[in-house]
Amino acid sequence: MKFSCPKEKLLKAIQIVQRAVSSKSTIPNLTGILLEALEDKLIFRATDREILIQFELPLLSIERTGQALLSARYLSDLVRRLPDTNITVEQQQPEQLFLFRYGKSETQLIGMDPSDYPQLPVIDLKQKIQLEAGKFRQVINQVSSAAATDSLRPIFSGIYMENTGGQSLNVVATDTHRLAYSSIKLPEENQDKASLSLIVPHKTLMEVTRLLDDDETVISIMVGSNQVIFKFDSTTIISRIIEGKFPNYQQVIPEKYSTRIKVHTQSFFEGVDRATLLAQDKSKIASSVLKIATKGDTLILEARSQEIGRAYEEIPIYLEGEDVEIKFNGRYMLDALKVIESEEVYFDLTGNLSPGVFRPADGKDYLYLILPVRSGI
Amino acid sequence: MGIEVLQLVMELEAKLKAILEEIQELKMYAYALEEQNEQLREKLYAQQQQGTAYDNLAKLYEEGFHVCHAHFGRFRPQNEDCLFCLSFLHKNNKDGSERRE
Repeated sequence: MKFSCPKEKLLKAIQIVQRAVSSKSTIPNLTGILLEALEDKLIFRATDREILIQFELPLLSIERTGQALLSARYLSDLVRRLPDTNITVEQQQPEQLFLFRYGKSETQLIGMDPSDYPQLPVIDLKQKIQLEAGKFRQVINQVSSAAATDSLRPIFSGIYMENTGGQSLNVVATDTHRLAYSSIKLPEENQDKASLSLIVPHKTLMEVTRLLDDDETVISIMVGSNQVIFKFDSTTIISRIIEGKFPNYQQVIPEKYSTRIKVHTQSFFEGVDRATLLAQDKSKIASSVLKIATKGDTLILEARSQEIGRAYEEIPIYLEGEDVEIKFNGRYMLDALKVIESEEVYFDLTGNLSPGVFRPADGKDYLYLILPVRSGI
Repeated sequence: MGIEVLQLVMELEAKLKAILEEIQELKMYAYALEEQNEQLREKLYAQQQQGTAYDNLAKLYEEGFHVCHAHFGRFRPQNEDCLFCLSFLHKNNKDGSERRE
């Protein structure tokens, strides 16, 4: 294997796939990045067996084809430190020695046997949809904070995606204390196709959205029996699907409300942000608990901590329905408010036990519901 | 004298007949009530059983355990409420009260 490549391109490719490298693996091969030089392109691949990232770099300066499996850590640390020049990588004898030449200097890395590296899985594809990358990233960002962070509950540690024969792709995440739902209209050619329903690991979608840097590009989502492929530009991400049945999320979305608060999103966010700072509790049980009350067209936010102090915020609102007094976890409220782009937001409430629902005032394709806190300040 | 006695016996017989008929009717009525009572008891028992099942689940939830399909019986850390448990309890409570009405 022998090729030349500008440092910048080499580094970018390594950084794209490096996130899939297993940091804790006891299998040495999985700590490496596979480089494959073909006639006209370089393929970079890394996997931890949960997720696989592959990046293709078109390159005309490939002199000899071949494969290399190099330690991800040393490869990225080395390339990052190389000067901004053309780098020549050449395989030497014995087989697993790779020489990096830059200007008049050179560094040699010892590789691993690439023949033992996991092959690309063969996936029996059942469905395929294509979406605009910018919109896909937006819906994932809107719901991702609601997914569970613990691995005890696998189905809730992922993001649920469904297109039950309709015109939209619904995306849902919940940790059972809060639930976020967003919907994206599918392009006409994708509509009314066979239904799609899968739970994708949160980490996978975070990597997909991280790598989607061009909003105009098209992302293809291809679903197999237990794996899903995300393909865009020169990047392919293959991930396992979380097994299990996502619960009927629609049953937890309140159909009506007794109080509707319409409020300026930014003012509400800033008020909740300040108050949450003061809502600290040593026991952690009452941590981040805010008291919310309405008095006509004013919303009052209160928080206090024995050690830090207290916060009192008044925010002008439009109130429809009864006055309320209720407590919520301020961090959950911030997660909901920070992804709402509309200038005003609805906050719908129905009693002290039913979830509060945030909806952007200018659209119906998104909602974030959170359960009130029954203990606290 | 003999005719009078005979007359009285005949009247008595007619009265007894009427009384027997009334008793028969009352017996039938009692049977019907008994049957209806049995049906009502069964219905009440079934409803009480249903109430108990709901109450047990609600109690289990209040004690800090999930009662939703996804995590039934699992502990709820810090007693944080679960959307799915509450929705399940709320739905069953509503169905139960509708059935009882």
